[in-house]
Amino acid sequence: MLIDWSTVIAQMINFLVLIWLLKRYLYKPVLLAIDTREKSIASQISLAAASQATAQKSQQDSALKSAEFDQQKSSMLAAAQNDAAQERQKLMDEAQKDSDALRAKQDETLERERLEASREIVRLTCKEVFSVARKALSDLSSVSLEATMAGVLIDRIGMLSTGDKTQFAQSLLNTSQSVVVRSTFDLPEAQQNAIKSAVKENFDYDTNIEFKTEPDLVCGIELLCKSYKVSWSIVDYLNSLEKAVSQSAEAEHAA
Amino acid sequence: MRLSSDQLIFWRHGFFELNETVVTTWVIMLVLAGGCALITRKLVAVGPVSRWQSLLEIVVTTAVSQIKEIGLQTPEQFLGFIGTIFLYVAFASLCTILPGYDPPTGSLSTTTALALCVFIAVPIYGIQAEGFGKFIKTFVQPTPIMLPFNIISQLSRTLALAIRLFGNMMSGAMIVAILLTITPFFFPIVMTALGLLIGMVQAYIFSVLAAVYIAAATEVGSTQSTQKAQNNG
Repeated sequence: MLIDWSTVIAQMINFLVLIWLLKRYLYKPVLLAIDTREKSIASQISLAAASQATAQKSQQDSALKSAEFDQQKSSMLAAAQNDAAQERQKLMDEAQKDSDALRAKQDETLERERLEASREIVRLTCKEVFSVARKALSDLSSVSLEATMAGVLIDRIGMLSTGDKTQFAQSLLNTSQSVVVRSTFDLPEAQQNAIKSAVKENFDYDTNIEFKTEPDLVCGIELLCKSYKVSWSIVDYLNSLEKAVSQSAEAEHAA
Repeated sequence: MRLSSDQLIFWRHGFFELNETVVTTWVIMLVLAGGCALITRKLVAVGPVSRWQSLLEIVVTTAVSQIKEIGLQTPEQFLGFIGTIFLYVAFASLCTILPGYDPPTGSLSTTTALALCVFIAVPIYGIQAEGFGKFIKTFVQPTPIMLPFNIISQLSRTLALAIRLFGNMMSGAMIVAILLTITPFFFPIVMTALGLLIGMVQAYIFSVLAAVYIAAATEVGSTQSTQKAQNNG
């Protein structure tokens, strides 16, 4: 018979034992290794995905920060340029102001120097002119000139307005001081009497007229009473001349 | 001339006898289990794996995928039984390239033992999956008249499994043996190669048929419940 039942039983037992052996040494360890590897790969993939997500987030953050940085940079640059322009304008304005101040000061100094120079010139001119005039008048002064000046004084007294004459007469009455007539040279008797009669005639005053000789008058004669004075002097002309020369110089500078 | 390796008996004690088939099976078991133990002793889960480990992983993953393709949704549960059938039959056929080797699968006793294992495993898996009552009911489906036919079907397919494998393996060995006496040089080598191919194909067929029978037994209940659900729906 082809079937040996004892062999069949033995082979069935052998097959069951082989199943156990292969489960023990083949299927379980290999499947375990494969499962472990799959889990490891899955965890690595999830880790990589997480890393990728983190990297993408970092990249997005970096891009965002970069954009913010660029924006801040441009805004700061614009602000700096604006500040620089304002500072430049401020410095320019200050420089302009300083320059204007310096120029004004310089102009003022120049004007002052010019005025001083002009005054000095005028002063020197006047001095020279006066010196020359004084010299000439000294040379020319004489009794006849004194008489002429007395005549001029009498004329001026006569040419006073009625108000002036009244005020002068009032002051003559209120004062105890005597009326003084000062002249460069001693007036002759005739001129003194003429002056006395003119005073009496115009101010109704007939007493105590004192005649004094004052060489400093250069060439002139004056009638003094308290705060009133009627005079003629070449110095007055010279002062008028000096004033006219100064006004002329100022007008020329202003032009 | 021996038709089966059962006839070479080394030791006998009453009913039990130690013949070439059993001894060869023991050697195959030793080589398979020992080789697997040696390789899996140094398994690497992460990192570069050895070639032998890769070979084992290929074998196991291929077996798992084949079982799944047949329709068993939890292939790991059936891997021990079906995978061992394939590895045993394939390795027994592979060793035919060794001179003087008689494959144990060329013995009708061995193929009968394997077929009986399938015959017993199918109802065990079926009852495990569906319960005893449902599994028994499958024998009277679609009508009780089919009961004898279903029983005959179970027996005949077990017989067919045993005879198919035995016939193919025994015929290959016999053809080589006969050809060796006629043309002892080149032609037996060709026939040995052909026998090797046939052995591999038979290993595949035997394991696939076992898987199909188990799948049919385990999926009867689920298929019926699915059909009922579809009808009700």
